[in-house]
Amino acid sequence: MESGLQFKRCNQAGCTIHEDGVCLEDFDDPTQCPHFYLAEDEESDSQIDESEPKKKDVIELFDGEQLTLNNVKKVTYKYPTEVVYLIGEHDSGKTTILATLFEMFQMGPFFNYNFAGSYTQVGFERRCFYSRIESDRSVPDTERTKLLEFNFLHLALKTNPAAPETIHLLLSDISGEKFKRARNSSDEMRELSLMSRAKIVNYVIDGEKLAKPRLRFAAINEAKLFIQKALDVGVFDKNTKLNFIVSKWDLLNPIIDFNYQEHIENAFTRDFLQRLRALDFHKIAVRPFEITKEFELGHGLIKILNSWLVEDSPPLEAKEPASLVHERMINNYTA
Amino acid sequence: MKKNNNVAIIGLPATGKTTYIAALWYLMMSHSQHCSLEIDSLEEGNQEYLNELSNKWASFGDLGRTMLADVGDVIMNLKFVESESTLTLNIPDYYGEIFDEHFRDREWSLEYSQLMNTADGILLFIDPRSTNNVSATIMSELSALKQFQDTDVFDGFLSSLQTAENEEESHEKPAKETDPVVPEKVIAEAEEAKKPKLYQHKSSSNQVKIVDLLQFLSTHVPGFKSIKVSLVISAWDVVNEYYDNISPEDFLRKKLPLLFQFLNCNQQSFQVKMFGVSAQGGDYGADIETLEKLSPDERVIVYDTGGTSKNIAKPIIWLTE
Amino acid sequence: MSNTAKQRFADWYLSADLELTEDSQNKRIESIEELMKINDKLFWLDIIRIYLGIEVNDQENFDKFIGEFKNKDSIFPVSGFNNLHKTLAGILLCFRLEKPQEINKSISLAYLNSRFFGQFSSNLKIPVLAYCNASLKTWAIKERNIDLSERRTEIVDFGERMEEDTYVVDLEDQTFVTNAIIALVDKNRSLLEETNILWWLFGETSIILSEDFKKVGLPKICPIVARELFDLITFSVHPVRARNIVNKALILANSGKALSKDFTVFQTINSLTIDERKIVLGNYKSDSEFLPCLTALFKSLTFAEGADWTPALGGKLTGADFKKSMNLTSISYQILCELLLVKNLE
Repeated sequence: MESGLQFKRCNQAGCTIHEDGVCLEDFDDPTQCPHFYLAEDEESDSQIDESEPKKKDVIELFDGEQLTLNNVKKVTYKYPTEVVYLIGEHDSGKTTILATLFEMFQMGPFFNYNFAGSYTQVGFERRCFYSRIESDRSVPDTERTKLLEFNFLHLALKTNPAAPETIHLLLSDISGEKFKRARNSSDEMRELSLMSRAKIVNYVIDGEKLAKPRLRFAAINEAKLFIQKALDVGVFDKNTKLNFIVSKWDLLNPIIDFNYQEHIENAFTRDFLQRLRALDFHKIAVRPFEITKEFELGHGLIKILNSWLVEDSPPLEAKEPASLVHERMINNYTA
Repeated sequence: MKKNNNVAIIGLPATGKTTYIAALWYLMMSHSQHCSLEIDSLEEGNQEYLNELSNKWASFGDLGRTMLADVGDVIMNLKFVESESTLTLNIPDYYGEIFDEHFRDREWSLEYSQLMNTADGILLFIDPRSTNNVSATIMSELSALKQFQDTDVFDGFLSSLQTAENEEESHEKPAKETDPVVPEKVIAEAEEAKKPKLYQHKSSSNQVKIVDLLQFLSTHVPGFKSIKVSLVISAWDVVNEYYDNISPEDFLRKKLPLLFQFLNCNQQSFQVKMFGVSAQGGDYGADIETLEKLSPDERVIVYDTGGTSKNIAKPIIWLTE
Repeated sequence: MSNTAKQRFADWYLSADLELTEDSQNKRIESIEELMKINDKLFWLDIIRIYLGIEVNDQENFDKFIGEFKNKDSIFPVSGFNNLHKTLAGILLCFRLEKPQEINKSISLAYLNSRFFGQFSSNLKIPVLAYCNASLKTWAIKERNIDLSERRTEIVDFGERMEEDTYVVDLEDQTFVTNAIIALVDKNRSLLEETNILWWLFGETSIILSEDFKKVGLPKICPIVARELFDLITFSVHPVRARNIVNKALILANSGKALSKDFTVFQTINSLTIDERKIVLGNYKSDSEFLPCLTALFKSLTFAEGADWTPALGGKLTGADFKKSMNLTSISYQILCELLLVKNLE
């Protein structure tokens, strides 16, 4: 058996799972316990002795993990960045979008974008890893997106490899937990006020849910409630560009009894377009259930990426105050 | 005019560095007419082992790992045959494991940091035959998909190398199927247990690791502006046999596309020249008869956009120009 | 701009630091307000350089800039953080330009001049360009728009007070009289400028070359027009519609037809003799990112007429393409603005 994969650990004081395999919370399957986690055993000594002093004779390198609000300045201090948020329920497909995006670049330039680097490759790799495992119901706590914090993945792209112009994207997927709380409470929604300065916000709704009659209207309602609350609190406003993305479209497309045009595009446009700067709709199927001619891997991803990278028209500036009246004819001079 | 250059050799494990160094050492020691570098002194390292290693290379031996256990860090002081200039060749870690460690532990030793701060150029080795150049999980999933069959990443190159592996697997399979005593549930659990549940750094692909390796340089070398990189694709004879006249650049673009894009977009930071090198000269199985007829200094193949050469020092020399 | 720079600070700064707190915002603004007190033109030119991401002329200015932020915030990062420094430099420029002060003329002209060849980009969403344009326009009008009707009321008032027996001359009245006379002089200046420009256009004749505009032809007329208009301007910034005036002069040189052909700066300069170039140049003799055309004129003097002097323009002007086809009015207007910047920097 490969070493280190089954190294059991528990956050709770007093739990003896690493010694005798018995969980303090009495779970048969310890992976169901919220305090349980599996540790990489590559340096088992340091796992046991948690008070080992930091080695002083080394140079610490950037860790490559997703960036938090506290350390994202490592990138923003250096480069002008565009921040893009993805929000939606847990398992709506946000993570898959990011994972598949990174995978596409691992196979070659994506559309006319070239990969110019990333300070968070490990962050991307973790997401890719977990989105490839089919049953990942027991993702340990340490691996879930730290629930209540903002996190950012960094991606540097160039359209012309030889030119200096580089686009630095910061991609932030907001956890399902945070999403749920914000939907239900104005105070929690205010915590997301960082989104009001985003280049673009992507609301991702699970196409698989829309395909099921019993689940669809609750999902649609959740989306409306969220957007409504965001507008009320001021997290979304007239400067917000919103992408409304239906994921897993390959599962929804064949469903005849769902009127997508009416229930999604028309309904949301009616309710929200007026109060936003832009509202665009996308149908994606980044990891289709079955790859066909119609639904290739990464279906719809290029269109989304383009919407993130398109040059913004200059921000709506307030009109200049009325110019001073001048009596000088020469200043009225036009050629 | 005397000028000293500092060159470091880096690369992930099993990328051909050993064979290259063995050949280089031999050819320098024997003052080969094709090699434009010669040995001044060995500042650090075990000379006896280097000699044994290079002799093994000359006799078409397998340069197994057991040979190199005590070789330690190697620092060679070399001089150019045709000028007064000197060169210090640093080989910080023979096996390449420290680079895997850098990726995993995200730290440099002070010595390594010092080495990178003073390097004028680096020799970066890539094994074209590695199945981990592109993410193994992407490949296993997608190799079945029609969508990607015609793309560069999934052309037949790697499968043409995997015949030996496939033979092994087919021996295992029948044993399982003909064993009715083991219940299915147990088999399933065993399979499940084998699947790693946690992401581990080592599961990342080589191209991802190398990109980080290079990003470490541009981020953590104080005052970093630019560095020269000789990118050496080893086992070039194998590549050349499968593809007709492919250039190292095209090979990298096809087979390690993420790395290719990264280098292409960061030419200001990394000035790269790519070389295809075969330090063996050919396959020790199939081509042995032809190889035995050649003298050692005729075996080496170094290929770049300028053409083919037998000067094994070429990738190093370019770094000093 | 209906919002003040202070109100917009967060919008601009957040692109460099998503974690802006009220406390750090206050610290940054305090630092900015301290820096605004500096009245050294060369310091502000270096701030523009930081904003454009190019090397400063005087490292002390850079240190002063960073030092002030570090003063108020001990954890402010000092080196290698280009985006943060550029962002703050841009914000500082906006704050500076918002409050009218003489030094703004130099700042605005310098920044606008640096954009001519487009080799510097500051792709930040900070509207330095808009502030520069607004500032120049404000100054152009302020210098020339002297409202004498108010003065008239004051003078009449003063006259009435003087007639009283008890009248005693006091300091306030002396100041008022002096100011009234200065206003008259300035008004006269502005009228003189206007009249001269109009006569110059009407006459369609080059003062420097003593020849009809038409005879001088294109592209030679281009730098000549710039110099002559500069000489006619009696204030420190050009009139609001200077570009249109330049355009009109060039059209006259083109026999009344609209300009359809583009020229390069290289061709334009080479159409002048060495002596003519010296006249256009005046006494400027240096090398600056903010004065690309004058620098080119200056460097070309050491070459033979007709020779290619572009290789001499490396260094600060790397990336500027002197052989790019451009609209002649733009070139002429640029030269005019560069001459005005030299005037302001003296």
